[in-house]
Amino acid sequence: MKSKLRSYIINLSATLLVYFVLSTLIGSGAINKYYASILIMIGINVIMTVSLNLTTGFLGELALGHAGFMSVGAFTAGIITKQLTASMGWDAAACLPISLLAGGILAAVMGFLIGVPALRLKGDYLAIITLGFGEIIRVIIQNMQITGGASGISRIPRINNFSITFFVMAAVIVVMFTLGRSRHGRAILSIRENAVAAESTGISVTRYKIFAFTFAAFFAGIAGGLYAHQIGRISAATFDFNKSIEYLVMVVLGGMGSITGSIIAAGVLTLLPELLRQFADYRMLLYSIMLILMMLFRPKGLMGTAEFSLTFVWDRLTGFYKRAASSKATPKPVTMPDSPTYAVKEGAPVLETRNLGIRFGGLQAAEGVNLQLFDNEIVGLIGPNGAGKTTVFNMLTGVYLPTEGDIQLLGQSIVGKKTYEIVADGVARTFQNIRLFKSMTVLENIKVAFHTRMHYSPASGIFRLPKYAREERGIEQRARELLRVFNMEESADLPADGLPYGQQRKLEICRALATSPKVLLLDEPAAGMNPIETRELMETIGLIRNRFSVAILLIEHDMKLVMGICERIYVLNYGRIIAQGTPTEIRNNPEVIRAYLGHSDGGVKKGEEGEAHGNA
Amino acid sequence: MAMLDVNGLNVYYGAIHALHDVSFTVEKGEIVTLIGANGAGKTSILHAISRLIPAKSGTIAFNGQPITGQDAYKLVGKGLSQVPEGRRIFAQMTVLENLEMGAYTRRDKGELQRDLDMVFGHFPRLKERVKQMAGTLSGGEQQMLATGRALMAHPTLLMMDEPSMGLSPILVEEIFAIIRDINKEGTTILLVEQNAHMALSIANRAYVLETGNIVMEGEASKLLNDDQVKSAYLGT
Repeated sequence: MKSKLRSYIINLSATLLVYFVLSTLIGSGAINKYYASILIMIGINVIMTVSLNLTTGFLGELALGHAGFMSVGAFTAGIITKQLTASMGWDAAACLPISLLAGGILAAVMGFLIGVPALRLKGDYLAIITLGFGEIIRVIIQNMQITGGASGISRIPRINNFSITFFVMAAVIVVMFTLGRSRHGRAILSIRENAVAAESTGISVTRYKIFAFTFAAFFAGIAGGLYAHQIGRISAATFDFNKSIEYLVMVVLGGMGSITGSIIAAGVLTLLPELLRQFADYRMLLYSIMLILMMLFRPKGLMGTAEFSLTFVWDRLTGFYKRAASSKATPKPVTMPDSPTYAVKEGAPVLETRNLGIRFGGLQAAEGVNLQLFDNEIVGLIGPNGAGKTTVFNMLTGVYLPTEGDIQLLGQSIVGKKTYEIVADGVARTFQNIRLFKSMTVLENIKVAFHTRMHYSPASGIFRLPKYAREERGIEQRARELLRVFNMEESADLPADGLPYGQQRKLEICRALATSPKVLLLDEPAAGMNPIETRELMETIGLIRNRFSVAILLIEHDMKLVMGICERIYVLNYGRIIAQGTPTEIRNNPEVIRAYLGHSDGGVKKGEEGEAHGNA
Repeated sequence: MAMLDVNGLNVYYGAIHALHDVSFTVEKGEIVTLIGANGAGKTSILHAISRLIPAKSGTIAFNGQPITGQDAYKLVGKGLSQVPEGRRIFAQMTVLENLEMGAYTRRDKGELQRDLDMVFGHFPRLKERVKQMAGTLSGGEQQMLATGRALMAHPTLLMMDEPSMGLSPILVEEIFAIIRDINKEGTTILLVEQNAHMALSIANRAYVLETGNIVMEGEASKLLNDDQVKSAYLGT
């Protein structure tokens, strides 16, 4: 906590210092009016770029209509200020907060409306929608009476100045930083990293897409308001597709996912055309060449996804780190995020499917599947390739909607629920092809999964209220504990895709456990592992059952693992269960041998097979 | 002259030195397998040979000709084909189209039907799904398709990266039988496998990798009975 306070003080002092230097220079005339107005434009463009980075960089959805939101904010704010000063006789400066806020809110409403198609679309399709949306806004504004038609509106009181712009910009940057480091920011990031995995760790992808779009639009609206009061005259044509692309270029150049990158890029790209003015006709050519060169040499943008940290630089300069490392702080006791309590009925299965089936067009992928999973059990689901095993998992987790039958979790039907809701209800899974949040650290991967068990609001995260601090401290500790159980503590701060393959599989299991499940579904956990790694995995699975009180259902082709740790086994073929029983029964079942095992030892060499370990 | 001659290969991922002076050969008609733990560098070797990642230093010669400076796609036409790890199939194409893509570089299109029948003979499951989009196949079926597609190129050297991954026990045996069959028909094979036991049982020679170094090499049958190999990779 102390180091956080230090970091606040360092950043606040630096911000104030920059402000006083610049405003003194402007006040004394050392920076002339022309350059002062460029500084203000930089401020406005920083807000635009940083907010666009939320959707394009952090969420990972290409948005091509960001200038449209700016336009909504500019017109709303401009009209309100004009009306209030003209008809009500208000002082223009007093109007500004109201107009800016109104502009932001109306833009946010538009952002929400564009976020709704995100329910169904992604990638290029969504990009086209944002493109269309930006154009629609422009055309509507151009044709409305109140917005002054094609000529736009003029004589908006020019009450914006450097101080206002600077502090609004600073506030937006701070909000972006704190939001990014809250559970809500993590949720948005995880969607960019892997939307399927995000949904399966309890994050409503749709909700957070809309959230990000709305939030970004709000800030673009505010930037628009500042712009209107800076220039004094606005027309819809200013906020066209080219303008949107300009901001997109700034985001890409700065680095998608880096706020400091956006700030630098907005500064450089606003200044550059002005500095190149002396080259007259060649100005835009030079500008473009510089862009191309920068992208060639830094394809991930200036900053990539990294951030520049003043605190870090300060600590380096002052040698603070050495001292901090030597003084070990004793951790305070923390309140954990709630672990759900599951009402398990004695003798009743925790998970049960009744006559479950699904048909894709003409293909009956599963039919009449009856599975029962009891508390603390390890059960195998095996069968030939294409038999429908993963399809069953996808139905259990709400990825597919079954066309027949029912799924009961602790006596309640979960058919029709969304994937992230089923996670909250207590079913977690891993994937056949590993789906980690690759560029996030190991620790962050786990933290994302605590999402469903946390409660603090976006506001609490942005303003770092006590609830935020309490819950974040809680999951930090819990996440590290979890890593310790799996001997992965030392990798906590490594990017997930830097881990060796076996560790990645383990991390995926860890992440699933962080959602505090009652039922854990493992899809081919031993795929790609050698016999030694597989043996370690078997120990890990045993450990999980004993320490976390879960029921485990696993799909696996490694018979040593299946026969070694499963108490019961279901065999699926062509979407139907053809056999069930203990490992011994399954191994000797002629139909299973014919369809799946090949011969009765099923790939397990003599003398190696272990009977089910019971609850040991 | 060896069919494939890798000499002093060094590969870096950023600052990480992934392969250290790796040298090995594959003779015509052989099955050679690379075994080692995850992260030991097996896949990196295959990718360096097929030019999917750049080598920092070292030479790779195929049939006596250096291939170090050549583009990945051209190698297929020269008879070097790869079954990539992780089932990189063309998801938006049908099973049949995927297989036809495998024969893309071949000139003797007349043989196409015979080869398709050969692949379907090995994997009847693929025949059942011939018109299905490859992306909708199950994981194991995609693995079969990736293998089938590589066979369609009629390579002289086939590099296989974990062909048994995600396959049922019965198909694991099948895939190793197939590897032996196509080898008998004249295809030379470089095989990377986690299932070291099976890989060593069908291979002529093997190299053992540890953290980017070749630490052991020899006849597969000898390595299969080597105590060190047994305890480190076979789990017996």
